[in-house]
Order: sequence, then C-alpha cells, then structure tokens
Amino acid sequence: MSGLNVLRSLEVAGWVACLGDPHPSAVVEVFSTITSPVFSEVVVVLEGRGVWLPREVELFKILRTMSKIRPFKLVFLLEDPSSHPGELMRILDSENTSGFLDFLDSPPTIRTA
Amino acid sequence: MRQIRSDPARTTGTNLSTRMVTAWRQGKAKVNHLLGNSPPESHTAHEPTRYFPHEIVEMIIAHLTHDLGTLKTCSLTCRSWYTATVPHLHHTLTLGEGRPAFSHNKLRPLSRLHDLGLIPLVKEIRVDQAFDTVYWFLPRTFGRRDLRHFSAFANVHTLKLQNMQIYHFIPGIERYFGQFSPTLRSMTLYDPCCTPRQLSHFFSLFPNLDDVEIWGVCVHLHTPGTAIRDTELVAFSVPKLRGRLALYNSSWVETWTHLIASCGGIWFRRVDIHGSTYCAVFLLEALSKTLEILRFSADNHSASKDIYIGSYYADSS
Repeated sequence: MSGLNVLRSLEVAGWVACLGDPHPSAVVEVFSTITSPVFSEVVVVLEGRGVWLPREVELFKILRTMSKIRPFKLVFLLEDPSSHPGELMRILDSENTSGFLDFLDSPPTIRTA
Repeated sequence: MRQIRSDPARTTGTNLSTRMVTAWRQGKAKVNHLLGNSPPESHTAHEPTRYFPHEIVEMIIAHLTHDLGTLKTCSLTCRSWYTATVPHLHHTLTLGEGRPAFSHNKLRPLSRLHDLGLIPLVKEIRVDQAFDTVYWFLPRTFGRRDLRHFSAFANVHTLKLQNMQIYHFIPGIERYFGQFSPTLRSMTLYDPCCTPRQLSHFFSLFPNLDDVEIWGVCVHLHTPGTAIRDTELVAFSVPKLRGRLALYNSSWVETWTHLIASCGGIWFRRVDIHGSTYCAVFLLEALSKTLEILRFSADNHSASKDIYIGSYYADSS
C-alpha cells in the first residue's frame, strides 16, 4: 500500500473491535503507511456505553505499538451527548490509566461531538 | 400587549404592500392632524424599533428547522414569518413514506408541490421503499405528468434513495435524474440494486457530486433483459467526488475502478469505512494524495477479523 501523503487524522470507532484486538489490525497496518508530514492525531471515538478504559489493556498496547512507528496526539472523541467528559478525564488521570499512556508526548485530549 | 411585527417593506418584497403601509400611515397622520393630536415621536414612518429585522426572524427560524410542528405554527403567525419558514418546511421531500399502497399514489406529492409552486424550495429528496415490500420507485411508476413534475426540481442538492433498483433505469437513467445534474452535491444509497458499473455510471451523471454514502451490501444482479451491456456504459461527466465517502458494509471495488477509469480519478478528503470492506486497500491507494481524515469503524459485536484488510484480509477470509 502506498503512503497516505496528506492524512491529518486517523479516527477509530468501535475501538474495542478495531484496536483492542490482540492481533495486528487494519488500523495499525494503515497507520504504518502514513507518510503525511501534517499527520498529528489518532482519534479514538467512544460511542456511549460508558468508559471502559482501565480494562482495555490491549487498546493501550496497540497504541503504544503505534507510537513507536510515529508519534501522535491521542484524542478521545465522545459522540454520545449524554456522556460526561469529566468522568473520562478522571479515569485518564487515575494512576491505573496514566501508566498505560506514559508513551505519549502530551496528555490525551477529550473532545465532544 | 403590542405585537412585534416584522418589517413589511423588507419581507414582502412587493411594492404593493409597501404602498399600502405608506398609505395607512399617511391616513393615520391626517386623522391625528385633524384631531389635533401630535403623533408620538416613536411612531415615525421609518422607526426601526417597531419591527423585527427579517435577518433576526430568519435566525430564530433557523433554530427550529428540525421541529416541523413549531415551524408550521410559526408559518401561520404572519406573512413575513411564513416567508421565513416555508423554505424549511419544504426543504425535504419524502416519497413513499406512509403513502397508499398503489405505486402511482406514492408520487402524488409531486403534483401537490407543483400546483402550489413549491418545487423550487425542495433541496433534498428521499425515497423510502422497504426491503421486504414490492419496489415501487421504478420507471413504470412515472406517468407522463409525474415525470414532468419530477423533472422540474432544479435546486436539489441531496438525494437519499432506499433500495433503489438502478438497473431498471438503465439505459436512459438521465431521463429521470438528469435534472439533478447541475445541483446535486450529496447522495446516499441504501442497498442499491445494480451492477458495480451501473453504480459508477449513475454517479457520473452528477458532475458536482461531492459526498457519497453507501449502506448495505450491494446486490450484484445479472440483468439479461437489459438493452445495454455494462461494458457499453459511458460516463456522462466527471463528478467532483472531493468531499466525504462513507461505506457501510459495501465492498464493491469494481465501482471505483470503473469510475477512476472512466472519469480519471476520485479525490475524497474524508473516508469512513465501516465493517467488512474489500475495497479499503484499493481506496486508500487511490486517495493517497487527497485523503485528510480516515475513520475506521467496527461494530463492537462483530468479529474483529471483519475489518482486516490488505495482507491480513486474505488470512481472515
């Protein structure tokens, strides 16, 4: 696959199936082909159902693998209007989770749709 | 309580109404003069504070575009509010939803809109036909008058077609959809029935088409009865295809190869790929110089192997 030359953002929705899989996934394969100088962020789209982050070790492992290929900013996008960014912020700040994200150059960002 | 009125001179847009208001004000001034009443200073002819600027009315109405009931109520308030609401009320035309069972009755709204002169206000057309019912949106459903009215839509920028039997319209699909060519920007197809080449042929009818959304697995139909072969289909134009492409369990590669071969390329800036997609690798190759945002989606309940592509796809299949 040739490189993606102008890609700015890679978004992953249904992330338990996409990223939280123990095998190399399409996302990682595509990520490895990005050659864009303007690429900056990986967006994990959270579609309701609460926040499971501390339990999803595989997700963080895959993200860590991806960060070795090239650095990126991690963004969590809350698409469910009823979800609370504060709750996610608290989970991300907790010791259990922050250890998984120590490979990031900057803290993860939270966005709401 | 004094009612706040919209400025009639700006909203009606007719000289007649302006003259009527002026005449009414002049008459009132004469009566006040005869009675010795000096008109209050705030009642000058050009006093702006008595009227709601039409721009403000439009801003208020714009917040109600998804509330049809309130829009209808607003349209009954006064002429200027009617003027502001009517484009939103008739923005979307839905054919087939809740209409009588007979096919030709499902096109009846066309006549009503035409008779009321509302066809130019329609910006979006949706065709609802459920998967498990008899398909009615077919060439034979269009009577001469229906087709004349359907051809009068000159401002439609969005088409959303459910279970459209595209192969029934080929050849001659431009006779039914050619009127949308100059204005159509966005198309959503739910379970279209055609061959991949017929689909790309359909897209090429719209040179300004930017956004494409395809839902469901497209059924590959062999259509022995058709008068034209797939290989004989010629592109009508080169569609822009510079906006967003969203594929939901739609895996035809041939549609895109044919479109690229006949039109020179595709230039989407955003791609959403949901579920099993055979064409992901091909699309990412084709869009390597234009793709800015890529979204992968997978149902949490589906097997993760469904989203594997490239070298991994062969293993999972």
